[in-house]
Amino acid sequence: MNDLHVFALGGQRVSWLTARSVAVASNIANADVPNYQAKDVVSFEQTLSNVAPSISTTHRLHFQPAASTPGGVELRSIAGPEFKHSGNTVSMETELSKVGDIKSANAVTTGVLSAFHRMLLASTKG
Amino acid sequence: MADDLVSAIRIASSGLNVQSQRLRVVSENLANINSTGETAGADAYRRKTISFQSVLDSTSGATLVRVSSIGQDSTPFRLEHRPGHSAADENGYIKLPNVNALVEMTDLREANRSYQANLQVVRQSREMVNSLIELMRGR
Repeated sequence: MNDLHVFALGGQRVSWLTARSVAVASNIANADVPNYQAKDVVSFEQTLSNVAPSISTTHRLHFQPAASTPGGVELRSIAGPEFKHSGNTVSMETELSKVGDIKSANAVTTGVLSAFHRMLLASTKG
Repeated sequence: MADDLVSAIRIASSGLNVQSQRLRVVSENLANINSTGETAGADAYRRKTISFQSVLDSTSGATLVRVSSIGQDSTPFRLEHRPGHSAADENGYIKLPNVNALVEMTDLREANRSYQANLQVVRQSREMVNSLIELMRGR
């Protein structure tokens, strides 16, 4: 099935979204903890180069994944938009908007994957 | 992958847990807003405070949250001149709890808002699990 990179890519996208939703969940849960630093995952472009089959570029405007170390999705601290006396950098509004983003991105990815899956099923069933 | 979604739900439920404990402390404070002592010069109800702490779950690497301590507010009691009261001291003053209803109501709202945010995370994680299951169904 390695001929269809879309499955590897889609799987990577879904696991990135999952890692991001874990980061958002811990930000929201720790929104009232003093000195807690808000976290987010590194961008999908950086994570993408961890996919084993490389995406060939046939055009100069094609998306070029940056080189990085293989492994899981890395986390980074994000700076808070405003200063809080407790030293907590979580912005509840940003986190809730991320929740919505993750939801719609996940719907798109699983939609694309199921479309390709249906295509494969149609070809095997005949 | 689904394991991560489960840990997202676990993080959110730890958030729900601490927010409900915060709500409990607020309701204790509000309920005891007029609780005075019994004997002459006795202390009144002292306002309780709650503080949180983030804790790393070593099995999944997730950052959960828990209640680090339930302490007492050390601000002085309100004094009121009520000579007929059983808790009045020799000058006729009684001590009233150091609870401010306005502060407690603000805390209540904030706890409520955080609770709803955590609930939203649980809802979204469940939807993501459902969409993955839907994918496997393959119609």
